[in-house]
Order: sequence, then C-alpha cells, then structure tokens
Amino acid sequence: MTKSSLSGRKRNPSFWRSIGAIFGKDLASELRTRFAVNTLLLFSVTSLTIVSFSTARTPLTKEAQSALLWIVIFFSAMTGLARSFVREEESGTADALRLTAPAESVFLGKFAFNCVLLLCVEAVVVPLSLIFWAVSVDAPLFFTVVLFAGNIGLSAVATLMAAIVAQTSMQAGLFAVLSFPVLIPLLFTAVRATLLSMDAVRQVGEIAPVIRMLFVFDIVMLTLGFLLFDYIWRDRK
Amino acid sequence: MSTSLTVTNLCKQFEHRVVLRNVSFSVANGHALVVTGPNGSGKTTLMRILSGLMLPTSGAASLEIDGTVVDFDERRREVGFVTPEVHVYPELTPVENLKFFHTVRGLEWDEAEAAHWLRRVGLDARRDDPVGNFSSGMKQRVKLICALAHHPSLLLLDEPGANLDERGRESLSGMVEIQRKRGMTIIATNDPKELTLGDEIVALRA
Ligand SMILES: Nc1ncnc2c1ncn2[C@@H]1O[C@H](COP(=O)(O)OP(=O)(O)OP(=O)(O)O)[C@@H](O)[C@H]1O
Ligand SMILES: [Mg+2]
Repeated sequence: MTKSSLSGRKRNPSFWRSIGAIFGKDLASELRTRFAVNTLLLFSVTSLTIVSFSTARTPLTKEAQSALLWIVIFFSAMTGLARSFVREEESGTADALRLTAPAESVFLGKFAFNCVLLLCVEAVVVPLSLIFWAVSVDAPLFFTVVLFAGNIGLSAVATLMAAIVAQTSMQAGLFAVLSFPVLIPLLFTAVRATLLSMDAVRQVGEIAPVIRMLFVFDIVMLTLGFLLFDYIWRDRK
Repeated sequence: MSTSLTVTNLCKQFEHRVVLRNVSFSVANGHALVVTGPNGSGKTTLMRILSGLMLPTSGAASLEIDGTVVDFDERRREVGFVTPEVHVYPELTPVENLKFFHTVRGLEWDEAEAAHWLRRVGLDARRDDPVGNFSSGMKQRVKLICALAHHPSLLLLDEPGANLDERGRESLSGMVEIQRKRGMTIIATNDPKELTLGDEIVALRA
C-alpha cells in the first residue's frame, strides 16, 4: 500500500504548481515590500533622465539610442534581479525552500518572477525613452519582440547568477561582474536588433536572423540554467 | 506502512574540527528519540544531515519507507524540519506560509486543514497578519505547523520549545504524540522538560 492511500492524502507531484507557488510567493512579497521594483525603477528612470538632459541639444543617433536603451535595461537588471535570492538567504528562508521545493521549480519560478520585474522596468523605460530621446521605431512589432527576447535571456542569466552570488558575501558587486561576460553576446545582438527595428529601410530578411540569434541565446541560457541550477542551489557541504 | 531511520557511523568534520564522530542509532515507526549534548556538541549539525540539507563526511543516515530508501528529492515530502536558523516567510501570513510549503512539496492544499492547524497553536485570530510582525514564540508556532502539516514520516525538531510559553509547550507535546501515529520524531534539545518527550535518549559529547 502506498503512503498516500494510507493517510488519505491526495498527492499532486505537479511540477508546474510548485513553480506557480514560488512565482506567486515572490510576487506577493514584492507587492508588499516593493523593494526590487523600487530599486529597479529608481535606477532606470534616473539614468534615463540624466541621459535625456545631457543630450537635450544634440539629438542622439539611432545607434546611441539603442545602445543606451540596453545599457539602462542591463544595469537596472543588475540592481534588482538578485534581490529575490539574496532575500531568501538573508531572511533564513533559503534552507526552507531547499527542503521543500524541487530545484528546477525554484529556478523557473524565480526566472518567471525576474521576467515580470524586468517587464515592469521596460514598460516604464521604453515609453519614456521614446519620448525623451525622440526615438522613432519603424518596426514596432520587431522592436517588441526584441525587447521580449532580450528580457528572457537577461532574466535567465540573472536568475542563475543571483543564486550563485546570494551564497557569497559580496553579492551586489559580484552579480554584475559575473553576469556581464555571459550577457555580452545577448547585449550586442539585442542592440543590433533594436537598431534594425528602428530603421524603416531594413527588410524583414535582415532583422529575422538577428532576432533568431536572440532566441537561440535565450534557449541556451534557459537550458543551461535549468541543468546547472541544482548544483548551484543545493550546495550540501 | 513501516518507516525507519538508521544512522550508522555518521561523522562530520568542518575543516579540522570533528563535530560528529561515529554516531549510530536507529528509530522505528511510532517512536520519538531525544538527542542531547552541550552547546556545540553537534545536535544541529546532526539534524541538518538527517534533513538532507547537509552531507556527512562519512557514514550514512538512511530513511526507509516500506523497505525502500528515500532519496533527497522524496525527502521533501517525508521530512519536516524545525530549527532555529531556518525561517518561514516573514512577508506572508501563517496561512500563506502553510499553503506555500504545501504546494511546493507538490501536495494538495486543504483550507480546512490549515484552519485546524492554526487553531491548534492558537493563531486563528492572527491568520491574516504577516508572520514578520509576530512575537518570537508565535513565529515558532508557525514554524512548527509548517513542518507538520504535510504529515511527515520523519519529524525533526531542533530546540522546538524555544520561545514557547506553557501552552505552546503543551501543544508541542500534543504534536509529538500525534506524530507517533504517523512516523518518527527526533528532538534535539537541552531543555530537561523536553527530555521526557522521547522514549530514548542519545547523548552527544562536546
Ligand atoms: N557550517 C559550519 N562550518 C564550520 N563549523 C560549523 C558549521 N556548522 C557547525 N559548525 C561547528 O560545529 C559544532 C557543532 O555545532 P552545532 O550547531 O551542531 O551544535 P549544537 O549542538 O546544535 O549546539 P547548541 O546547543 O548551541 O545549539 C560547533 O563547534 C560549530 O562551530
Ligand atoms: Mg543547535
């Protein structure tokens, strides 16, 4: 006789539910404390405003606009996305999570949460930059897809790195230092794709391969994260 | 269903400090074991190893259910662990904490059962307050029910009476009695009052 039938408990091994629970828990905590979202927005809006003021007289080239946009998004991510893991370690709940949740659902739940945080940042930063820097986007659909693909890759790398740095003593510094080299290909590709989507004369044939590269990066990073996370997270010394 | 825990020649060493040396004991279904020893004798270390959070340097601690050894991934449903350094989520309410730990364990959530647990530890009036605002004894009560609510086969209680008042201690011993019907309990403590919770005592040396 199995244990569940004995105790009369129904067991749902559902992996998706545990991912949802972790995502929902992080979201609820964030809505109550607003810590990460405040940090992210403070950083992104401040840097955006500084750039806008200092370049008010000299209109930015499209190259500069797309690079600046990703610089703001990257550094915003670096200021806020480690928070959910750091908080687990600081408040002594990380071990509770290790004891109760499958490592893979922790990775995917936290990844989903970081995606949403970054989406919030983009929802503020992108319209503001369009207004402040007078950016004209000729292919808005591609532009959105690029943001979305960049968001996924950034969040996947940030989630993996955050789990590493949360267990060390110099969290904030190490986070950006570790993430940047891994994100270089993504950032370069995202800047290029953003530039292409701003430009009307480009053809679909030119943009599509760049976007495809972004998604390849996303898939590689998510797969790597998924496979490596267990070793990083459950470091049982 | 029969469950058992067998600890054989367990050793744990941190760099050059040997904390546990050849610890062996076994616990059978329905039994409670008390582990005592002076501060720093390795009680918490032993409990962390039994929970699966820490690996021993050598030796083994194997949890068996119906003759099959439970691996780490299955332990999340079979073990409940309360220890001073592991906390529940301060931003969440007791009910949300219960629900969270239940769901990530992959178990079906039952609102009525949650209400029952909260009543047991006298927290039903505070069910909608974040745990972060609770007193330390109230937090300890929440930790206890979060470790118990999934009916673990192995319940590990490290200093379970910490911060509990007289009534809290009563409901604690009630919980240990309930656990006897379900599986095993191991209690690590230095409190003479808690020594009586177990049927057997293992004493660790400093
Ligand atoms: N992660 C660690 N790294 C190095 N040493 C450790 C670690 N964890 C525990 N120790 C050492 O192991 C010894 C036993 O610690 P442990 O916390 O298990 O004792 P304890 O019996 O629970 O004590 P107390 O009664 O104070 O709770 C101590 O000397 C402690 O310094
Ligand atoms: Mg201890």
